[in-house]
Amino acid sequence: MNSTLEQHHVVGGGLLRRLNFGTAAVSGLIFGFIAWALSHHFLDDSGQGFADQVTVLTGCGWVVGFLLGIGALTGPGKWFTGRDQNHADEMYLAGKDLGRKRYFQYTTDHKVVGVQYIIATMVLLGAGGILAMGIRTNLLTPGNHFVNQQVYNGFLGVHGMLMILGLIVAVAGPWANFILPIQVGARDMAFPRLNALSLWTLIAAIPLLLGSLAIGAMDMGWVTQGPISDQSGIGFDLFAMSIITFTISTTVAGVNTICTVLTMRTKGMTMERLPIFAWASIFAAGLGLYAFPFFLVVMSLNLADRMVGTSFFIASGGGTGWLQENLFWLMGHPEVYVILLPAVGAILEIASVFSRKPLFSYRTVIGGMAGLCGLSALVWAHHMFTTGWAPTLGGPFMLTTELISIPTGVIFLVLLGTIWRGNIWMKMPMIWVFGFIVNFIVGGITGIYLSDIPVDNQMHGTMFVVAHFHYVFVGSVLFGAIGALFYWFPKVSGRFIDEKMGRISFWLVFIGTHVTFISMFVSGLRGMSRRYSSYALIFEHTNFITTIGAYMIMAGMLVLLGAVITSWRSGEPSGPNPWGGKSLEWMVPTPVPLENFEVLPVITSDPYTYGEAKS
Amino acid sequence: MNDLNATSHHEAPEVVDHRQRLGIWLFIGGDVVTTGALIFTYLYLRAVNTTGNWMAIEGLPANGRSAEEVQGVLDAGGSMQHIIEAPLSASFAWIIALVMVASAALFWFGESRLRANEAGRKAFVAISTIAGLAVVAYIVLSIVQLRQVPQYWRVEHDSSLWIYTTYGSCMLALGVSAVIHGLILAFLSFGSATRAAVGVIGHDRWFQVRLVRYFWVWVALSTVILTFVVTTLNAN
Repeated sequence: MNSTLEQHHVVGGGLLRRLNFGTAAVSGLIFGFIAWALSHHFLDDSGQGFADQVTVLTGCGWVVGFLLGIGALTGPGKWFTGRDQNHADEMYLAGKDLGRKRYFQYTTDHKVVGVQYIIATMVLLGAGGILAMGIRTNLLTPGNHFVNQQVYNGFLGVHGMLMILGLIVAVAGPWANFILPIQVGARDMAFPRLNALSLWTLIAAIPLLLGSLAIGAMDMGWVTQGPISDQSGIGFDLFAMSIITFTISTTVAGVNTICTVLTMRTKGMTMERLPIFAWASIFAAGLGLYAFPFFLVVMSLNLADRMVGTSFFIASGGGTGWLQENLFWLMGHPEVYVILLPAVGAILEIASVFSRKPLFSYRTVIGGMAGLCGLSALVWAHHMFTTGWAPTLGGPFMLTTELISIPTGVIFLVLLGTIWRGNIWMKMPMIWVFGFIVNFIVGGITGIYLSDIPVDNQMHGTMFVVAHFHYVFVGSVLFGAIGALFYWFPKVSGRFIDEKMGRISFWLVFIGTHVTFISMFVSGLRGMSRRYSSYALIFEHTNFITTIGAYMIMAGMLVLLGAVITSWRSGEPSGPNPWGGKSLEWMVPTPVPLENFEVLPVITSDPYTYGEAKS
Repeated sequence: MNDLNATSHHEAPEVVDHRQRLGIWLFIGGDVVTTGALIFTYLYLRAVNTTGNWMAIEGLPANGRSAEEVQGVLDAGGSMQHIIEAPLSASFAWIIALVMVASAALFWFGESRLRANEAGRKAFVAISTIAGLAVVAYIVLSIVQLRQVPQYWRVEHDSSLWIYTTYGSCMLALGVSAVIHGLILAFLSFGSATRAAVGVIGHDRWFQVRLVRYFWVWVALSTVILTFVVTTLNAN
């Protein structure tokens, strides 16, 4: 009797087995429509904030419907009724024997989630990149010949947030899911269902963010400055909803990452034998747990001001935009390191493997990462030097900001020390590491300039600042993310990414980055303000050059996309350990079996024992 | 070199428990930051008191009136009043906090009965249900208090709007936060009771109940802290 029931479960039964991305999208649309209709019916349409209330409730309907439609709420429902999922359910959720279908479902297997994150990251960065091209095309010549100011402002804000979200998950999403559990010798993440929840919550947030463009976007840039955001159109409501949804996703993912590394390590995998990528991942996850609640709060308060007439950021009601700026940047600066650290971890892994040298001063780099995390929480007000908020605190915040260059420099020196006199193997992952090194120097040093109040007073709000943080995000994080993609792609697909296309892509992106952002530095130094949709003729040449560089970056990214797609289908087979790596992910077969290890390994040495006698 | 064929894998319940405990502590850590951000907001706005609008505001109390009703008062010659807004009742706030603390203590007691012996399972079902009902009362009381947050009809240049003072705004945010926490706790308490009733948790399977208790105690603690802040630092 039981076995019959079991079989029934596996073969046909249960709504859970019929849910996928399609049902989620349909369910989300239906729930969104219901919420929209109900809010029109029950809310006072002459009341203040009515349009905002309808938009937010519709967005909530979409998220709840989407999560219901993908099956994310089935687990909590079963928990509540005391009907826990049986083994067959667990195996089904893990995607056992489901083939490609599992990539479109609420699958708990960390490797499937990792691949899903790769796709989600590509969508986020691709959409953000298209908007960047729109922005740059408009700035090709002065005078708004491509889009009007309103659309331009929408492009600017949504581009910023798409790229920020995309880069937050660019390394931590795919690789802290696909690779990290294997690296520490675990069969899966600590909480597989929460892992899937974090992914599908992120996916639920993406249409909200893109949808904000369709209904007017918002016109105050990605930092959503308090008093202006109160006057923005309803696009802002979906924008804020997407951020609130995203913060839930990252919180869940962060808890999962930390628990996986701290509690799922296999025997012998002491903290001193952890691959450096695992260290970087837990530092980034921990910092995210600290930072993103501020994002949740600031967006919620923004929405409250718009929907129900509160006065948090509205001076006429007793609020202040400074509060909004404080809350935002309490999140905003640590978030830079939430983005940067996983990329740095991946870069250090690659550097060691491709230099055939142990990681230079393992403990020092961990100390550097810890220092970055600690100091990053104490520097937020350097974004507010010119706002007039607490001028007497300018000195201390300048000091802490300059201090943060020390752990950053330490990490950089460890990277150079690892490569120094190594037997360097110039394959694609390592080429991106060298690109990272060059770009990170520029991004880092210009950051030190901006931390000085006198310089910041001149440069704040100019294209110089834009160029600086793009050197950090594009030149460093994106280069690290692409390097990680080249490095771990063979483990995902069993194939190399095409080397020739990879090199074309690298040089286009590398040269494009410098053409774009060096000319942008010049625009900024000559006084061009950021966020403007048009400009004076004096800035025409540098903007023209910047736009040409941006097109080069886009061309390079398209070549990379083509390389990834063609290589995934028909690339050169790589075998299980193409780079001769010594961490655990290279010790398991490719494709990696469902639970990674037949029996769990016992670790007897660290993963960077290059050049040492065999133990 | 690492030995890939060394030990077979088996996870003891204690190992899973250890993992889940770390997980709940991390979630609580995130909630601590969220609560901290709300307290920061309250104290910041109280300290800055921009344009003297922390509590006092020139406007017409609009609670329970529609826009048309308020406009009718104004059209009939009613004037905007300068009102010194009074803080919400401190004793009522402490009663709400007391309910939350009592519910947490009750659940903790239920957990101890569950862990004591097999017979404690039935007692836990009853106690967890009562604790859940106390949380429902907490939610209701919080909503009652939310409805007392005064709202004003304010004429500004050529437009008029409903507005909360910054004090009222903070109380609204804290009240909504309390309701959300209450809803989560209600879900957990009734869920725990159901699971104990069907035998999924019991004398030898109480790990999840302890996790719920951790969160519950944190919510009770944060309620006390927030109540202390808003009842002692509210001078106009």
